[in-house]
Amino acid sequence: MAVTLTLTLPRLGETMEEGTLTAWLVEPGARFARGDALIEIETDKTAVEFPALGPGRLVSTLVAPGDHVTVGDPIATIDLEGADDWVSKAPSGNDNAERLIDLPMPRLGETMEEGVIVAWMVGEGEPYRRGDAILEVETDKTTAEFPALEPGRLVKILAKPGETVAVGTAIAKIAVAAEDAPPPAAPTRGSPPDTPTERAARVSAPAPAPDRPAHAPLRATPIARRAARDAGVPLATLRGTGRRGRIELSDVIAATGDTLAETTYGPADGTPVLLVHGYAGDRLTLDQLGQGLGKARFFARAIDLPAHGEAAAEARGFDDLVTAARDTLRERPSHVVAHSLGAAVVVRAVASGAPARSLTLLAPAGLGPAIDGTFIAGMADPVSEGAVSHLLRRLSPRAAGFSDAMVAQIFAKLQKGRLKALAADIAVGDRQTLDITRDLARLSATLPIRIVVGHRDAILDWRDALTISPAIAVHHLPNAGHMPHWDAPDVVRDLIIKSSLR
Amino acid sequence: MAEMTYRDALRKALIDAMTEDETVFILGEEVGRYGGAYGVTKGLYEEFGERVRDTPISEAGIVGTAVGAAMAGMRPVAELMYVDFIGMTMDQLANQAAKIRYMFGGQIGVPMVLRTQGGTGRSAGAQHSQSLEAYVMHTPGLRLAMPATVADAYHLLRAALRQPDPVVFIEHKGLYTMKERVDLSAPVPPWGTAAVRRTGDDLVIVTYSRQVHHALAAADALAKVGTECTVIDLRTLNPIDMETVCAHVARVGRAMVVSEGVMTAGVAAELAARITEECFDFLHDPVVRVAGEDIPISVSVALEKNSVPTAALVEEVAARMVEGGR
Amino acid sequence: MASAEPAGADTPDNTNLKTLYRQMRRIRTFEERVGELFVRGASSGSMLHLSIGEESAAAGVAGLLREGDTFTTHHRGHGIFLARGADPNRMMAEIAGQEEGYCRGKGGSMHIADMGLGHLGANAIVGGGIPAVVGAGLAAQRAREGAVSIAFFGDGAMQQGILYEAMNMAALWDLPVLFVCINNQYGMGTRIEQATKGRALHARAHTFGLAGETVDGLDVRQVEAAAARLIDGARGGKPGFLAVECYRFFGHARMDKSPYRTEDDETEGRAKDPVLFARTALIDAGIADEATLTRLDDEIAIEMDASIDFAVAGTEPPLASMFRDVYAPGTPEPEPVRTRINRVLARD
Repeated sequence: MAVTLTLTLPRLGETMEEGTLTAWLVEPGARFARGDALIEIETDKTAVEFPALGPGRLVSTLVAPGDHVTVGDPIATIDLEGADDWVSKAPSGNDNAERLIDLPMPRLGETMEEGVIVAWMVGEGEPYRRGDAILEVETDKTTAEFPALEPGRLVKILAKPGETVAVGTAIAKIAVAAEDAPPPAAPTRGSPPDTPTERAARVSAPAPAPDRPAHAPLRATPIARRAARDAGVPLATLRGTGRRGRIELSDVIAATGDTLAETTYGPADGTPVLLVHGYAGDRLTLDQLGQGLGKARFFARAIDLPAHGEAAAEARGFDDLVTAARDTLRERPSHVVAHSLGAAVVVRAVASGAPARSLTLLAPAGLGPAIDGTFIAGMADPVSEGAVSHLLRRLSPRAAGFSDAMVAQIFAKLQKGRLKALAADIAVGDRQTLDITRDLARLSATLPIRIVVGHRDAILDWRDALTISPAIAVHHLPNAGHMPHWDAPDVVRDLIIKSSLR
Repeated sequence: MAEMTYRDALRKALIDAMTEDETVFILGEEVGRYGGAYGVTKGLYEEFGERVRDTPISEAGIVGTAVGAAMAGMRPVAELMYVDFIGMTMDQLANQAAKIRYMFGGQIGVPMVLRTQGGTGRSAGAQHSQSLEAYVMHTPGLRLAMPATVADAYHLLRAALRQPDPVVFIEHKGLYTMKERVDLSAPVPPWGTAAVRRTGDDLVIVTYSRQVHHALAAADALAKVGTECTVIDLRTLNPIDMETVCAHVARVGRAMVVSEGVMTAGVAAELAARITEECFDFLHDPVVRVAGEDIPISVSVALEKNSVPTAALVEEVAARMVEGGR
Repeated sequence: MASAEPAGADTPDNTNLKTLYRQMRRIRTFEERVGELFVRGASSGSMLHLSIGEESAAAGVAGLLREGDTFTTHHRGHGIFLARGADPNRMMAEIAGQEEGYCRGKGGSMHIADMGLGHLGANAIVGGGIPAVVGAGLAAQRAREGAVSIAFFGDGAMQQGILYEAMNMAALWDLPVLFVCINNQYGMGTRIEQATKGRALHARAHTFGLAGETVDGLDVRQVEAAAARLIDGARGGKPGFLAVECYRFFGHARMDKSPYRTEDDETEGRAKDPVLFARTALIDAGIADEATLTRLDDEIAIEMDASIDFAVAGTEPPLASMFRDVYAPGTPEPEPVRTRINRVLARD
């Protein structure tokens, strides 16, 4: 039995609200396949086609060429002929799920006025993630890949390889999640300064719009440029608070720094201590230590690394954790206390230039090859609550005291699979892929570093710490396991207090 | 621990080197009976006789003699009374000493030390007050050491006398009477390694010679208002320890370079360029140069004093850099 | 010394003796007063080199210079410039580093110059000022106005290579140039015997084809006579060399207490005092009596005291003048370091 549905006009362009129907491209009664253009509509900006999102047969048209149509208007009835109901799922005119927008030629340098498309690295119809290179552009100065600023789908390529295109001219049609707002790939210099992009409005709430005069070159510090690049945020969308409106690191962090969840302890003017948890943990695992430090008038700050706890950001691997830690460390040079994988993350972050006043590494990963691969894999892809409970006991005897409800909660979080990519990146079987010993040796020349190991560690081999650079103090806790801060909390707390008072 | 002056430490280094190594000898104007224009070689003629050789006022000849002696197996320490006189020796220094190892295909080196002194502070006028280290640094083949402390006056001179290549060793005329309690047997950073004289998280000040003391004075003053500076004393300008500099600049993200030499195309310019190149990704601010004015030094005390960086200027600029970053 | 007997067979020409005495006394008093600047807190400059004992070379040679002639001096050149007619006030102010000085406080004792009087500059680099007279001589030769250019330097510069390049070129091109070596026996703390074995300084000039003489500086009349001969020759295209033998009464510079020589040396050296010698000669020849000369000395003392007062009352050069005269007026000045830093650190 035929199912007839009414097809409404979707939003076919970024700002399209209405248009004029210029032609039906399918005759009533004719069948069409997914992707076939059904109608052509002329808007104030361009002529667009409406591609069918699924197969079907055009039963009747409800509007005729020359008609003025508005988004959401019924335009036709169609018969799905037994196919899946793509019409109801399709974005209606008022639906925000996905919107089709122009991708303008990005400005890849302050002086760039036009660019040559070298290659498209995503095919038509293919989705891409934020940070994926979409295309390669050649300017008079360089050839650069242009990374996606938001996830989306490349719908149609408008500028082919070899074409020279002015900055700001549409080079492709892309579909983006409407709620994420259109990513202004690179606002052109001519864009009116008083019409902030939606993204700018979202990401830099305290500084709603860049107010550089048109044609003024963008000022940003080198470190801010890099942070923005790492975060995939176009500098042009940010307001600079530095000298002469210069965009500084703090401006980028203000715009992007919502990826880490954190808890602070103690007075804000206390000596700053940053607490970083380990693999499969979160900031709550450091809560007791944070409270102890707070009572001792330190300003302790515990964060969730990407893919952990309440952090919004995901991790494609170890490096994403390092980037997040580096950004956090740059906000304020602190004494750092880090556990297990977090220790390796912090060491790598500091070795690549993030500031730190000292490092206290609790059962650090990356000192040797051995690791309990079952634990790593088991937490990334948990089988059952019982299995998780079992694995947790390898960390510390304290885990035996976890209630069923707590274990269930942990299991539920782990089951989301956020750790999978990370797990694959840090260990292969029972071998670690990380080695921080060289970084440690180098850092120990300029930075106070101490390591705390528990001799009952069941995850890592504490003896790896025996061969570390002699410039690094190693504290041994014979009765502690992989969680020295759980198993000997007072000792660990006092160690940090004593050594961080300088 | 003994208290000694910069001058004493230099003298002790010369005595120790001459005692250890028969081939070490000193030549220069007034180095013998007179004891050196600034008293560094006082008493050495009495102790070592003709191994401390007074020369006529023939700067080119002095340096050229040292070049030949070094090629013939001696270890000459030539003294140029003022670095300003380096112009007269430049052929021997830049075309001979600096080039011989290379242009002769590595057959022979020129292990000589040219001791001299420079800088302002004695109202000695345009031809006796310059900081010409950039001339030396700009000449491949020459090593360059500039001690800022009493201990380094000793250790760097001893190390210079162990180098296989010509070393220009520039003392600062304003430091000769500086006193420190030093233990010369205490370990020091090896040749070519900078010394971190103070550590802080807000700004890195990279400097050398007398300006180290201005930087430290500025850092002390700034510490009282909560700004902590790292002060790096380069000790040698060739080789130059960019590793230490970059480790700290990358950590702190903000750097100032201080040099008494003129700003344009000077040592500070080279340092600022290298820091910018190598630490670019970590910089919150441009690397700022605080250096000598691009002018000759006047005999007028007021003009002289303001021709080169003062501790007050270093402090003021440092404060502005850090404040701008908050 | 080359000739120990001051007044040999020639009858000394007393015509100018009083003028020469006055000039030498002015030089001596000026230099005796210079030290006062330090006491009165007005001096810039640790580098103060006195020519006391060498006045005859200054008065005997520089007194013969006339308009259009040029000269350069070494770092011990106060006397030469005074003998050429310098204003002691402006000299003293320059030594004190004051704006009123000949070089607006920028040069100091070692770098006094005055183009008006043909002083192409005092030099703190040994030998540094010598070759300029070759160039000035070349210009004078071209102008054909009979001007001469004289380089004054000490015995220390006799061991500088540049002197020989300059002498050779002057001789080669027949330039109106005179090289005057004021041999005060010491290059800083080194006696000339310790600096060279070739003691016949004028013989070196002969090698290049210059006219060359050595004269005892004790008797200013002898110095003037020798200088007159050589300057006349130079004006006629026969360059020359004159060594004036004298004794540096004091140390190399203000702080030098001459540890390299004995008191006996000094006593003996100071016995050869050209000022005292001329004074005695004036009295002996009946040209002036003791009272007249004492009055003259007092007048000179007043003049030089006034120069001290003038210098002390002078003004410090304004800081803004620091950037002036690095390049010609009306062309871009060096940009102050602070301006550059301000631009980097500007807020907006």
